[in-house]
Amino acid sequence: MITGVPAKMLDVFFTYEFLQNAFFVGIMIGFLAPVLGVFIVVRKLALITDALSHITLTGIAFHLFAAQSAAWLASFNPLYMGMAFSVAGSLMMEKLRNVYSAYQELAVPIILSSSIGLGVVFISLADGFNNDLFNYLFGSVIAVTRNDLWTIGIITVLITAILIFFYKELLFLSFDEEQAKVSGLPSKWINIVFIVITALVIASSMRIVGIMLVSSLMVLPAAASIQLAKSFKQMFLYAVLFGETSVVLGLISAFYLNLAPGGMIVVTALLILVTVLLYRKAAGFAIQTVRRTPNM
Amino acid sequence: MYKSNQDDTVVQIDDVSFRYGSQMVLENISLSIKKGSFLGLVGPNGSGKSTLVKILLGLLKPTHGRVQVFDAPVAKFKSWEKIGYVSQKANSFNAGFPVTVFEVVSMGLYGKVGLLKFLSRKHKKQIFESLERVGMSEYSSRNIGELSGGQQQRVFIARALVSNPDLLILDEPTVGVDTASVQQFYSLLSQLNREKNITLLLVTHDVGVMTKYVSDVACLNKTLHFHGTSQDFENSDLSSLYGHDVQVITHDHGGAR
Repeated sequence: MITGVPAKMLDVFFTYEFLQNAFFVGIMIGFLAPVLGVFIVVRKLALITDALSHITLTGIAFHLFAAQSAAWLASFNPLYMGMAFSVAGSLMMEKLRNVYSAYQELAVPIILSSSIGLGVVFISLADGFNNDLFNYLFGSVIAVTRNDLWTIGIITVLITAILIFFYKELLFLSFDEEQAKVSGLPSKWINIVFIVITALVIASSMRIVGIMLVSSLMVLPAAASIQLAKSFKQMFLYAVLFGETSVVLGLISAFYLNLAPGGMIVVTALLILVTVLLYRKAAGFAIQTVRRTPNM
Repeated sequence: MYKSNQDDTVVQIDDVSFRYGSQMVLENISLSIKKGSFLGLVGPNGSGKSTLVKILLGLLKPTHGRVQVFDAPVAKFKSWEKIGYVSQKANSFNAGFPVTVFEVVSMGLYGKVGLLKFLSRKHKKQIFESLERVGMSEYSSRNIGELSGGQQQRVFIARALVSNPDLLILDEPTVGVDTASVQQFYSLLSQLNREKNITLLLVTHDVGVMTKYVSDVACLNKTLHFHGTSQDFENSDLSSLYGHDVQVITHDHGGAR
């Protein structure tokens, strides 16, 4: 019986293409989302992920609505429209941060609330809430297509390359933006590149974990990692370890317990975070971090 | 006129004014910094010192006037690795940031290394040498947040020095650093000035100890009140005036913290 269970899962895995798609996309997302999450957390921009995931939904709702009247659109992956909206939203947000230079945090709620409003309009135009849309909200393993796998695969390679080549600039900008500017780094362009790749990762992640849960896969592993990491490189190591563990355990447990995979991934990430916090508390370090931060 | 002194002038500020909205922060400032000098720029809080530094670094554009850095107008200046800058880090950076001392100092080379390139073995050697110069090499793998204020300040100096700058600008570097470390810190600066011939601009509201180490003093309070050698400054009335004024501010600070 015990040996039968994993065997059954592997059987099913090799039989159904959609499970393979979901698994491989999950592995890529489990890498990308926490890596971007590290930068987002240390730059104190965690709310940006929520704004960008909601505008991705707006894009998808727009696609579903537009595909009803323009049949040629229906043959395209709605993900592309989601990505286009997400990238456009990210650029608008960067612009807004400059317009409201004294109230930079205002950029996030402006994009967040207006994209929800716009999304609701498109959803009602697209004849209300259908099953498709629900899958985008909370993620669906069944919905992952080969096309998604390729798209997200290309994005993973592209973004990994960008992150490797701009690692030092991104680190410097995250640690001390003013000093980075004085050193002659093209901070404006690097910020744009950063927010655009964040938008792409968010759009890629939502097939598996869904729009409502994307931000947790970015933020939770990084939040756990910051409790343990001594160096910036370690931040990535722990974050990716936690992200991949969450995806793999989340998918497997969802399969056996017949629960929502996106939800199980996030619950696993949360359990890891709680474990890390308890460990830190037991080691007496959590207190130190709490003291350190407001002190400055 | 400022073309004639090109060789030994590192910074030339000509008739610079700056205003935030309707409030005049700086008025008709003209000031030059000679190569190899150690200039202390003093003034009470809110006197526009930091604004002047930001203009010098191209972070702010002056409302009026011009700034020349190493023979180039600041807007066109490209060789930023020639300038090391230490801001008021001791009380403003995010100490919870997961980054090691080595990583912090390496940032000082990023502009020099350039886009799409990585740190080489030679760069890593430079990082250790720079840490050694400030006496922090044994802390290279420590988390920056675990260090004391004085140690952090040394790390930031190491970062500013790692690209071998000709000019080092320090904006209130001793805020939040204990008195004993401040003394050490100033002697480190004057050593760099003498031995490495690095031109120094030290911005501070704390006149007291500083005058012993600098070669020149400039007093700023919206306008430039004095610019001359530290000897002339100590002999002038301004010394006691500024010194007194500043003591009060320092104590206020101490009480609030």
